[in-house]
Amino acid sequence: MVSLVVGTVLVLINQFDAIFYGLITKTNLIQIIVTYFVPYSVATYCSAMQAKCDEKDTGEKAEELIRTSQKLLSTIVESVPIRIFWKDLELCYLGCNTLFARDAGMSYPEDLIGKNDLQMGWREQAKLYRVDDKQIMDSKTPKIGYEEQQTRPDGDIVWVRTSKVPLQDVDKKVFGMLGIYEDITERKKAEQKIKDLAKFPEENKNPVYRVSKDGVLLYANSASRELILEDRVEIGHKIPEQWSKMITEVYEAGKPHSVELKFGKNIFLFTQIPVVQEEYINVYGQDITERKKSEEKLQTAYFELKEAQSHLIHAEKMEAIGRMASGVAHEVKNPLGIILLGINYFEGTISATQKDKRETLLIMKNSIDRVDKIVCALLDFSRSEELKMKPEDVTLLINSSLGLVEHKLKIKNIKLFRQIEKDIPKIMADRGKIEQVFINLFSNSIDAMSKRGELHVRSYKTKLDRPGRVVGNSENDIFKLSEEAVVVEVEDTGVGIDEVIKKKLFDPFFTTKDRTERIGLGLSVAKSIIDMHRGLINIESEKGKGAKFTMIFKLSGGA
Amino acid sequence: MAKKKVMVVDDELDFLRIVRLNLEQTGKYEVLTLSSAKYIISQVDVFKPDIILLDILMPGIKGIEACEMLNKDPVGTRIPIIVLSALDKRIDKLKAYKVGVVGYLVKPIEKEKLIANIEKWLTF
Repeated sequence: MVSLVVGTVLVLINQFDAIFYGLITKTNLIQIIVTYFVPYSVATYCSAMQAKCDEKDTGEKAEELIRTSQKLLSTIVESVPIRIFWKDLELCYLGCNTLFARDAGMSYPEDLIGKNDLQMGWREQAKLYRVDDKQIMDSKTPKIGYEEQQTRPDGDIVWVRTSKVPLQDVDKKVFGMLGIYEDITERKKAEQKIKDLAKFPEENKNPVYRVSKDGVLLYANSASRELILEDRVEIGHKIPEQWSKMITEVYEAGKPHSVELKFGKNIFLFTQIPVVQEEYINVYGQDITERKKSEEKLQTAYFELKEAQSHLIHAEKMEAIGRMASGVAHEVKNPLGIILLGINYFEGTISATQKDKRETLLIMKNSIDRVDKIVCALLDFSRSEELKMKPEDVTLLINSSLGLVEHKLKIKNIKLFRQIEKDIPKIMADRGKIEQVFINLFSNSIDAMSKRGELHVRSYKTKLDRPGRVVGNSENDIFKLSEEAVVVEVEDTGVGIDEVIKKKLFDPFFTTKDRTERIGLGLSVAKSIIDMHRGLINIESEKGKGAKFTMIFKLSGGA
Repeated sequence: MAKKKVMVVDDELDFLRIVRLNLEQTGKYEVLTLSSAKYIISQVDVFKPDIILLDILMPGIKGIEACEMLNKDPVGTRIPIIVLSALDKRIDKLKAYKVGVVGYLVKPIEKEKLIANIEKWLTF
């Protein structure tokens, strides 16, 4: 018996050595005390007491040992930073340490003896405690390290980590139970805090995930699983190679890196932040689909604005050219008048036989005529305000204009194809001006074709259902979407126009023809006239593949 | 046959000279040129032209204004006026016809056409 007590003390001392050397944790300590020492010590102690009573002839030395071990046990029970209590078979307290007594709202362990849990501050939980105690004693099985709540006398509810074991005598007969617990309220609070913090990435609607430097998925929130990973990668498994490669590169670079990737219809911005000391990369995704769309819209609006600005500048330039042209025309016409009349005067002084002189004067007169035509074209260009608008039948305008170039068509043996829709609504137009435009376009087409070309003239009613430069629903759009309009197309099989020339085609004085032949105001005047009609003129052409001019006119009943 | 009297009003002196030379070359006209419309009424009363060739855009009194002045003058109102101008806009022509001109010729103009127009109004 004495040896048992000594053995117990030695076990305890050994364990305490371990504590002092920091080899075992507090939790382990509780485990050790509960499983090894306490039941063993208490049982031994009780047995020793029993032996003491039975063996009257025990020597003084043995008694001394028992006293020592009793004292040591008491010291230990009071010193360990845990609560210790033990109960009898009736679940009444047989003893406890001071820490436990205080939890129960009492000053000394003796105050508790004989009381049960129903008389304690934790009345609310007493039933549960008692069920446990009973079960442990009945089954002779310890219940180790479980968490439960305890109500303190002041009403505070704390969390405790409890272990309970049955107390058995040397004959393995249960005579009570022993329990210990530690207050883990702070730990529970910390755990809750950690849990709450852990929710933070989980609750994020954007993908958040963590990948090891080797490309193994360590964490992925719900958004990542739904939007990005789509159940293709599980935690603990490697992410697809193309991502893994990127992750490795970012990790090696050691600097945060952002990349935009498309998943289905959505675009994500992924910010990859390497945490080198932990050997992983945190990836924060952000769905930027809407932002991208807005950016695109903004960019489109910017380009439209730029284009509108460019058109405005062009229009202002044209207006300035118009004003200048008008002034120049007037200033040129006066001296031309003098020169012409001067030539006329000399013609009156030359006899019919002086052919050379007559021819010279004729050449001079022809030159004056050419200059006058240039000036007249300049005036045409500047004459924007002079429109006599009324409802006109576009078919009649086309036919009358074609009549004027018929001769040219015949000479060049050009085939004319008319595709004029019947009953086209009337357009609002200045007859003379629109005829001027048509003649101009027909003449240009004829000039662009060698012999045996084809000239196609089409006219039809249409509904404008595609938004364009001047078609839309904004205030500045000339044509509204779904507006009905009349289209006239003039298409030839001529030499075509390349991109560079196409851009300059409607500029005044731009011509691809011989300067003596044309002055380059035809198409700019045509455009100016169509603009004045609040219409649209467009060209489609490729070098060597002919050209097609499309004009769109407002209906006479239109806005 | 007595020569017809043509009054030419234009601020361009060279133009006045060349018109005079051309008209006189025909031997049918007596020409008086004025470089401004300032004294047109007094000169009309003195010269008593059969026809007036009048420029529109002149410094000082403009052609249209001169027409209005002539319309108010008992002599002037009976004289046909032909505008001879470099202005070719419809609006200018309209303004001229509104104040009673009989013709509107745009420079440069051939002698033949000019004389044909003059003659057309001299026959009345």
